Amino acid sequence: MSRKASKFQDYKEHAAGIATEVALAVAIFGGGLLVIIVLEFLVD
Amino acid sequence: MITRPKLSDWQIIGFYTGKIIVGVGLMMLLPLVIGIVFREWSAAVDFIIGISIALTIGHGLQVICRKRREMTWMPGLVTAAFSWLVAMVVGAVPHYLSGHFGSFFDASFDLMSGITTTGLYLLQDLDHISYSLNMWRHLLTYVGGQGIVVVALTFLIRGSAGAFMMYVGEGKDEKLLPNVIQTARALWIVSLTYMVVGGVLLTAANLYDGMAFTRAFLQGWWIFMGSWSTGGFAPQSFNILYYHSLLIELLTMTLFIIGSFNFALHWAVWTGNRREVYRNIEIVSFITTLFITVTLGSYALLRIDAFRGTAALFRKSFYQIVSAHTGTGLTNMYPRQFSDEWGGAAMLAVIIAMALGGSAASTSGGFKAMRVGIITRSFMAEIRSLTLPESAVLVEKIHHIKDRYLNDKQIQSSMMIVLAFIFIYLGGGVIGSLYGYPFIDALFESGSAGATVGLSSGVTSPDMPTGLKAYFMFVMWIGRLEFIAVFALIGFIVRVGRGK
Repeated sequence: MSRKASKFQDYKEHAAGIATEVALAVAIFGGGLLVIIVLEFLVD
Repeated sequence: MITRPKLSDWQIIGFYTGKIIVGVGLMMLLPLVIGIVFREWSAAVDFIIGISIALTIGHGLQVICRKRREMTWMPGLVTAAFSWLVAMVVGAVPHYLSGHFGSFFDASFDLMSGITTTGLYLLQDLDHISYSLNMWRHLLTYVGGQGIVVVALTFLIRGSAGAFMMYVGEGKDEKLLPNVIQTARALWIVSLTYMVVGGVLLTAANLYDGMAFTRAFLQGWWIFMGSWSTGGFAPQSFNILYYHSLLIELLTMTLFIIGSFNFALHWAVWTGNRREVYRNIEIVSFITTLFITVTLGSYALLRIDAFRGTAALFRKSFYQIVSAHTGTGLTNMYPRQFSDEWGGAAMLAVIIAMALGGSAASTSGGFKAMRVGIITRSFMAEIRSLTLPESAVLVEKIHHIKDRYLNDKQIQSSMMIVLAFIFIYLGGGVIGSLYGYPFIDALFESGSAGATVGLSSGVTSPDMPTGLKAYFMFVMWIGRLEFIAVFALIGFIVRVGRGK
């Protein structure tokens, strides 16, 4: 693999890594919202 | 064991501390440029004085202490702890000269809070400080999140075999790459990439909310620095509440959740090992304790009917608890709202979240998810061993980048650090009570300082007793460096005092 192609591969991996981490963060606050909805239902 | 310091130990400590102080001086160039661009001449002069002092002390130390041998374990740890103190004093010069602090001591408090990514502050009239001073505050917290030693390793120290000792002393003991200098650079690749992405998104959010371009741009980058570094500083006294924007709340929350992850995890995920995010012990531990504290806090708030409606509860309860658990301290509430409206049970949930903290080798403080995971696993193994025959050998495994077998030394060391954290949290609660604050408020503030969070129950203010200011500065420093380096420095001083 040429140096340029290898660099491009690295950038692709990094971008996929960022997407994975953002997806995890979004899943965490999605879970938080769900917990709050369930608690509201239970307390009411 | 710390032996009697030799002249060469002093020289090494002085030499590397000098390098780090030069780094602090060079960092001041950015706020100086901001001051010149925005014609804040008085602030620019403050930074020129600060840079002159830092470069004089830094280069002076390097000339006086020219090193003649490589760094070893003890001087590395002592340098890490000592350089943070010197950086605090030198970095506080522009703060003090700005006229926004009652004393140099108060300015030093804000410096320590900034570099340890805490976020508590004694600065007066935050809404009217110069752009350059705001840039300095946020730059400190961003760089402090990386670690000032990491900065020096990246830009100023080349090929030192002993550099890893200083790196460990700063509370980061993971090598992402075989060489510690390459590791330091990898940390910067992750942080700078997120800085570009996060800064652009937050600027766009500010523009969308109607802010003029210059303010939108500067405040966008500053909020990024306060979020990613889990620092908690914001350019306005109402913190994130100032913006009244769900979009900014969601963006900052995403950034501080990701910012609280271990840099080794970032690097693994960024280099193709994406399955790591749901196998890693720190992520599992963090998510579990986060949902326990969110459930406790939200339930307590629902019981006292503090916030009406799902959206309000999510924006207040979830945001505050995630901010606490990641060690950030950004808030979308009024400063005294915790004490006035949250009630004891919900405040306790926030205190627990603050105490637990984010991941090891990240920008956040507290016990750390790794230690919580290790202690929980060993606890469960202990219970399981009761059901097994006496001759059975139980082997416990954790997954962090790769599978690792748990041993007694790891468990003991995790428990010791957790106990030390509990001690400093409770110590602040007791000292605060002695000064006349309600225990829960004092414990909240002490937990916030010790775990380098920055949420406040209203105790931290310029009127706070000097003894309490000093205690909070001490626990921010010792909590950020995770005790070992500070103990090494204390041991070093004791050896010097005893003369043996």
